Amino acid sequence: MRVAVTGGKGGVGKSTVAYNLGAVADAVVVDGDLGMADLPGSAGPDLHDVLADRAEPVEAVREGGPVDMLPCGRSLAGARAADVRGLVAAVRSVERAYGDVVVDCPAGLAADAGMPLLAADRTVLVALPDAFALPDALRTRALARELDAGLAQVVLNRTGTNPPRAAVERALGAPVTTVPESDPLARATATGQPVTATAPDSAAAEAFHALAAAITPPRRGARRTPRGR
Amino acid sequence: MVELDVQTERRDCVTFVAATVRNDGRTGRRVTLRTGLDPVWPPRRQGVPAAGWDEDRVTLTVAAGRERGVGFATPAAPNEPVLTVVETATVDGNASETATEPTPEHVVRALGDPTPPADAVPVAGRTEAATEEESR
Repeated sequence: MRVAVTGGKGGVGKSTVAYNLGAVADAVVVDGDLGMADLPGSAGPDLHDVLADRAEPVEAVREGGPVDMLPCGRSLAGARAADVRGLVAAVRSVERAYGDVVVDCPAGLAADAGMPLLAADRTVLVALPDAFALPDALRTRALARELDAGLAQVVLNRTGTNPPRAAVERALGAPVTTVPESDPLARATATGQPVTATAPDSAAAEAFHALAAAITPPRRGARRTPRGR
Repeated sequence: MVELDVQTERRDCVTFVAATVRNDGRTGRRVTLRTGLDPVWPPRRQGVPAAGWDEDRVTLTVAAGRERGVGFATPAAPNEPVLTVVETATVDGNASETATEPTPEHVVRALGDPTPPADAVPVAGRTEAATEEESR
């Protein structure tokens, strides 16, 4: 499974969703934000090096942290040297070596946001309930379909008491998972941990389990359990 | 039947090649042309060669009874065979060039090159010099 976590807009929580989804699904999280990486990084080769042909994708994957990561460099020079066209092959070789991959997409709709959709086989679209940018979301959905990474699930992030679930489901034609506004999640993100490790019983952790279950196809022979709402 | 009409113009040491491909048949045809000139400067979109170009070849689909234009530039003199038809295949009426599988090049062409412009990247030496001057 290759999941692109996208959203069109910046600041909606794409990286948080990608990181926590990666933790729950035991997937490698690829920080695809070539210009403005914001997932936890460390020393060693990163995605800029991979896309500039200076490192193999698999040797840039960091194991041993709370989530397996392929981090991205943070320098403009690195971003300039990186050729985004290589992302598709990089994601595939990580998938061959490790299994499931979650790609955190950058904001916007330039080629760096489109390439993860080409690399992925399904898309999770993250949106905020109060500033739901429908034109952005629809454009992203159209692009995802064009590139064969159909919209699997919409995440309404930081929801309050009465999320507009039905309206968003109608508008985008995809099932919705809500992630509530959550102090445990904010604390976990601030320390670079998935919320499922720091607060496994929190509502946010449950939401990420529900998201992973919703986008993962049921194994052959297994009975599909109804999604919790 | 496919008819190829090629014109070349040499200006300032660059050869400009302009061609039209005419399809007189009753079905659409996918036509592959090859040039003997080297190197080829194909038209570019967002920094990558335009759709259909692959090194010295270009493939385009011409609907029945229609013609399409194609062109490129090269620093070489137009001595070699400038353009020849190497392959034609009939296509369904509704097929178009976009019916092929999307590639990373398609994505860059359609959405735009995302790399930061060179001017945005600080040069180590220059930045240090500027800082030195400021501190004086």
